[in-house]
Amino acid sequence: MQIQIDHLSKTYSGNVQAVRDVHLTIQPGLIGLLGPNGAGKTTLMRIMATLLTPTEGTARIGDYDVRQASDRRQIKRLLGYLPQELGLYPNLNAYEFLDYMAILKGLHAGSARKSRINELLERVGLADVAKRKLKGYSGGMKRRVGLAQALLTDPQFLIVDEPTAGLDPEERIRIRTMLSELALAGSRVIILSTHIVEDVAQTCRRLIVLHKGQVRFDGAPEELSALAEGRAWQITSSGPRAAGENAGTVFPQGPLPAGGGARPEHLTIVSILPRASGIEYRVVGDPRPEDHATPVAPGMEDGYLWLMAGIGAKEAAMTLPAPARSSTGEPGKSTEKSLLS
Amino acid sequence: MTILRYHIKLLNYDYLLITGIVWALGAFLTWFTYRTFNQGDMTISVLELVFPVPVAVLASAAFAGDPAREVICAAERPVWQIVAARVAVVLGLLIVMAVLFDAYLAALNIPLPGDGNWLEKQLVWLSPALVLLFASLLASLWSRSATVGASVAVGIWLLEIVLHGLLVNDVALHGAWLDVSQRIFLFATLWEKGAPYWLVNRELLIGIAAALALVCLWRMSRTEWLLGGE
Repeated sequence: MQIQIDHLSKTYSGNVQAVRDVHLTIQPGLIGLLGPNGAGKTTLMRIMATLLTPTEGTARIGDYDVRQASDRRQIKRLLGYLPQELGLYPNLNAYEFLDYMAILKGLHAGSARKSRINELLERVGLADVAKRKLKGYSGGMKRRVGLAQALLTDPQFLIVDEPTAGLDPEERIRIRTMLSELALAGSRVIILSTHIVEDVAQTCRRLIVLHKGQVRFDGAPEELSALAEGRAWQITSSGPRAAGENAGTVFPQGPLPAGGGARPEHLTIVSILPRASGIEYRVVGDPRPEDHATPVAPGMEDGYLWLMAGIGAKEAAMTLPAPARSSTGEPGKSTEKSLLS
Repeated sequence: MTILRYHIKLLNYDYLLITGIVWALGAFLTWFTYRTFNQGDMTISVLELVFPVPVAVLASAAFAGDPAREVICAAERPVWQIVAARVAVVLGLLIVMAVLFDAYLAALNIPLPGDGNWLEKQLVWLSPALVLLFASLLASLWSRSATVGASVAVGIWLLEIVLHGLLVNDVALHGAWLDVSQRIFLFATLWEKGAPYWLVNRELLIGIAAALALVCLWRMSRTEWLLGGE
């Protein structure tokens, strides 16, 4: 099973371009799809799930083309789909919900259907509460029911959209562990969409970052971390820093770093931690922002934020008049040359 | 049969309860007015004016009210088949209500309203109910909202009641307007008792309902129209 996406674009009414000229080849395994809200992740996945028709280009799921009406039913046979917002029927219990969905997915043989449902209820840890009405389930339990319905036909192609959003840490870990096990168990393609960087870091060996409908990064998680190599810093400040012009940024303070040179106009904050010694800021920026900034080993969040800051700076440079442009250059510029499409 | 059981279980229980109460109230009022005033207007009202409304409201939720509609659209079974089965369940409910009411009237020796034989008399409730049902379904598919679908059905229903004079017996506007409006008026049995065009009216209403059903089918042919992705 392979997914081939070529020149794929989707424009909604009002000329809103949700996906722009995306090219991807996806092999079996668990692939993370990361990006801010409105990046086009859900649109891309809905196209792959045959729920939306692309405006241009195409996507082939195995041997089938999402544009061809005759192929869509075949794709649905291969597909397991957990949408971002899955409502459940409050008057049904988990077994009945899965039974109903199984029939709609073409599992007609009663005994095979029953054993498959029981197997999945065991797998997602809901066998004991299978007869309880769904309206009494917690958010995490509902997501597990959703995951079970996506797995009913043992799909070769599984799409899970934000499966861990809003869940407590225990449920998040449980769901992402399930996804990892599924990826190890066969030759299926699993696409995990999320904006929780940690989920991708813990499960995927390949990740794709979308921003404004375009693929901005396609590589291994450690490659994303490496983007922030030499650009992740820890600064301990005696008091709160003045906020930068964008949310999530601060201005550097104090003397220029030794060795001279311009410093970034503002830094992207990764985290803020109050300590007894002051406030500890973890930031990404290039060059070294302050003399006392300590370099730290970059993580995926650092790399992701550096990538996003680079995209933001590039867009700002394209829209601002020349005198207002940063004299320090665009963060992430070197990255874009090699990694941004 | 398993799938039918689930389609029934998925009906909104509150609406079902309201529908049951409406039936019981209609039955009581029919008995009361017939025994007290010896007239059958209430019989017609219950069958023609009251029964179609809860049915149309239930139909508006057949797709747009489904909380799992995105998963339904990704299932192998085509959406139109799922919605058609749910609409069939709603129609089945209407038929049960009407046939029980017929039996109730027979038990009380109250004559059935309408012209023609027993089957033709069933058009008293069937024709307006089908029009309101498919109008409601179409509006809900178009707007992706069960509330809008139900509101459209109730809106048509209210307008027909408020404007019944204009639609079926307005003297000032006599002519082509009345020729058309009398034939597509939903509640002709009540407001134009014994009208010579009654059967034509009932048949035309069924034709309108069939046309609306075809538009519903067309609307369900693309999932992005149903989920909002044009």
